[in-house]
Amino acid sequence: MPRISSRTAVPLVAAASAMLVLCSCSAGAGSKSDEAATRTEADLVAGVGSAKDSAGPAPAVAGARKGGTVRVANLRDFSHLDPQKIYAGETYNTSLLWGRQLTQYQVVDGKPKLVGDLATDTGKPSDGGRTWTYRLKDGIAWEDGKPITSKHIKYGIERTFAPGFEVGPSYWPQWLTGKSDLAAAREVYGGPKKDGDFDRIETPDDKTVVFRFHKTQSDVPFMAAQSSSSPVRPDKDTGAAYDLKPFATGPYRITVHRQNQSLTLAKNPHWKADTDPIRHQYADKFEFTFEKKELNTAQEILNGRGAGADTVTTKNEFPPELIGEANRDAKKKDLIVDGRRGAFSSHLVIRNDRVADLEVRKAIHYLFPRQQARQALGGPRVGDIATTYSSPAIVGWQKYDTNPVAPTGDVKKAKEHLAKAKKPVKSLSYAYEATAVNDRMAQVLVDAFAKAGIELVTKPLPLPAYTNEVLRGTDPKYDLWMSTSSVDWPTPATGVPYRFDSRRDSLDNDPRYRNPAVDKALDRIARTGDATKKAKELIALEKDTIMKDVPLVPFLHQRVQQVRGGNVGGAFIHPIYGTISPAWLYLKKS
Amino acid sequence: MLRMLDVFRRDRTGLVALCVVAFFVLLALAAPLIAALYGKNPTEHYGQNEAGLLSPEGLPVLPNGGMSGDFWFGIEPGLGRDVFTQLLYGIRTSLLVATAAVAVIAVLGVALGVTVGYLGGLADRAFTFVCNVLLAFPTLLLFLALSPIVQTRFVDPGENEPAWMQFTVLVLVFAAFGWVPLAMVLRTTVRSLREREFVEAARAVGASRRHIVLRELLPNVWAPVLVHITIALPGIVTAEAALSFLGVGISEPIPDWGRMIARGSEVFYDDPTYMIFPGVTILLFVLAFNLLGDSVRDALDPRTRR
Repeated sequence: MPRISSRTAVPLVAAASAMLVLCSCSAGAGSKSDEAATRTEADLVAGVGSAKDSAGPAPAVAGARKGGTVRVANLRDFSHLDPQKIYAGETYNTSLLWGRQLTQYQVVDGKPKLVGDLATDTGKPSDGGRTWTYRLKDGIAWEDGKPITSKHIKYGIERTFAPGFEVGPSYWPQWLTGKSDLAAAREVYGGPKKDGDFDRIETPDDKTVVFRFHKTQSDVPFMAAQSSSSPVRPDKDTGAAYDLKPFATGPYRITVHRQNQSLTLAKNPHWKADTDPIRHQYADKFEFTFEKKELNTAQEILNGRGAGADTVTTKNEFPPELIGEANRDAKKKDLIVDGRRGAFSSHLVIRNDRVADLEVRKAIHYLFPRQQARQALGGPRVGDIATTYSSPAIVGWQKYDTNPVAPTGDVKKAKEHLAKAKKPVKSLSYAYEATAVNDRMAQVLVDAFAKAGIELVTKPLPLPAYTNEVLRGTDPKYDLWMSTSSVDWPTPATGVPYRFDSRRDSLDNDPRYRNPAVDKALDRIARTGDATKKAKELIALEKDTIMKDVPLVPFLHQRVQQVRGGNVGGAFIHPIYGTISPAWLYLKKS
Repeated sequence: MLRMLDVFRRDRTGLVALCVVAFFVLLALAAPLIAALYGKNPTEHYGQNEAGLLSPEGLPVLPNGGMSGDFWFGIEPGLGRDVFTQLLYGIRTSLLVATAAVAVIAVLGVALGVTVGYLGGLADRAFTFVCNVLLAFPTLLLFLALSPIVQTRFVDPGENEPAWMQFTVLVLVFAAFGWVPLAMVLRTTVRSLREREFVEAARAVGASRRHIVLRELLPNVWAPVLVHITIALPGIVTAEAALSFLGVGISEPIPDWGRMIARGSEVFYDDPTYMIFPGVTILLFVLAFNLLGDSVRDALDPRTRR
């Protein structure tokens, strides 16, 4: 063996160790937890307000000042601005700046209440909930000063039937025609351009809108708060161009929209604060800019560089890379706005027809290591560990825990249930979208399932394949996968009856859950005329029957973090829409 | 031969590089033994199963990436695996892929290069065409596109993709394109060799083609082959790491340097230490191999001797 020359070897080793010394300067995370500091929301939200609540003006934000330009920096421009095409919480939220609906959520101290917006109240049902009447307020006007009439509301809702509007929700067409899907509804009525007037929406005078449904509809007040229920003036309907620059009814109007570059809003002089119980008009202008890298935007805002102090992000989420930096500095931490991501929840879906044995599903419930899985995803900031199917952000929610289990999982209990299984379980398959973070979470599950002697087969699939085969496929060959879902408005009416009705297809009922008693109960509850009562019954059904069958394992009620500049006041995560709501923002100094 | 060893022995850099390479090979071979003595394994989630190692956010509680007497190189953020054993077993992954690929490359390259070089004519033209096509192939893109297809096409939905399949696919892709430069070099070498007197002499005494290729030509090309593979090997190690960095190499839970570096870049702001170990290791490993390759070439090629 030749002798190693020390002259060559030493510099190499020295260089390597120098690098170690230089770079090993990372501080430890410490054992502290921020869990307690971020949990402030009320659990029960979105009660229905009275006519008195619906009168303007909106309760003032404490300490708010007028004037200045609030800047909003997002990576992506909005995919739709046409009110009947918007179908995303974040755009619902931002479009409050220029668009008004029949009803809307008034938020005071983080607590939402559904109130009349253009309408004087949240709607009056009659004829057993088949007819709903809305009366419009006085003094509501378009950005050119002309009054908003019932014809404009009718025209807006009629548009949802037309081709091109399937990107928005299809509840109005379904409810007004009594058909179960949009295609069938369109055969009855094809939109204002094709079929003219639709007789199911009546406008006896300029101030009254009457909806005539085929069946009892309880959730109309909530649907009336969706962007689809915004008025559109036929003479201002520019077709495809309306998606870039809608005509304003809210406190601001769009002056310039350069797609994927910027969106500028100025005050709408014809908006009267007295008529609006929801929105504010603190800033003089809103300036949206798009396409800047998320990390750069967040760093500018955190450090107050450039216009950073006056900037918020409403679509970008706070980059996880910077969480550590922000947590180490109280001033920066103060700029992070944390809240519930609306009603978004993640569940470990079990394909019930493949894992048909209740004992095995129970074992999965006990094995699932919620806390470790969440740690692999980023810890408490990504969500609160869930014990219920529905999110605490919806009306009628109750805290319950059908099969209590430690967040780290309970191998002993799982083994007990596995012992009772009709057939021994050797392996289960788990499909997921192939990303590095999901790979790691899959390893957490593999680890946990192995403790009960189950080999978890992991199936990373590229996003298109995952969507086509697992989420949208009729027959995915996997036992388990992770799914994130929400509701269209904060009642369980667009959640529970869709996911757990065995007569629905696998797009809705992805666990392939089948319980005739539940189907029957859902039919009975569908005839309930009152939204709040219906919500309570659905939650009771979820708690007392559905979750006892363990059709899926609740994982997280998701949380979201965004960032605001030091000079921006009034920033909070909207409890329904799950993003910072610009309609409450003001500048502390301008 | 002796002359070459003598030259190599006088090349200090080469000797150090050889020792480093030998050290890595030794570590790879002895990985299970070292891990057993050290008392950890690369797949257990220590940070998740033992309290006090990771914060709720998944970052090491102790400074410097959680380095301690128990975890010499710290623990992985998120899952809390042991970094030292991950690195140790990562050598195995890299070396296995690289040596297997290089072996296939050497066999293919020698067989094709020498044969075509000797035959010339039509075979030579066909060979050049195929080589040009293969050189123009976007290898990385091909692999990015190929890897999910292999997963979904050849693996039953109820089974994990077996480790041997992941390794085989990687090795085959590297080999399928890696033999081209070697074969082209050998073709040129053989073309000049076959005009030399000793080959003429063999032909004159009536030696068969087989005899000429195996006995007269092959012994004269092993030097460029040796040089080529010592330089190709670190290239494959980095290419494999790059694929894992992009998320299509060897998958979890088999330890892999490229994946460690990818994770390191994700957590760099909060835990820079985690990036250091795989980064420095791969640097040392590739540097040592490259220096060794240089020295081998210097020793074998009289023109570059200093």
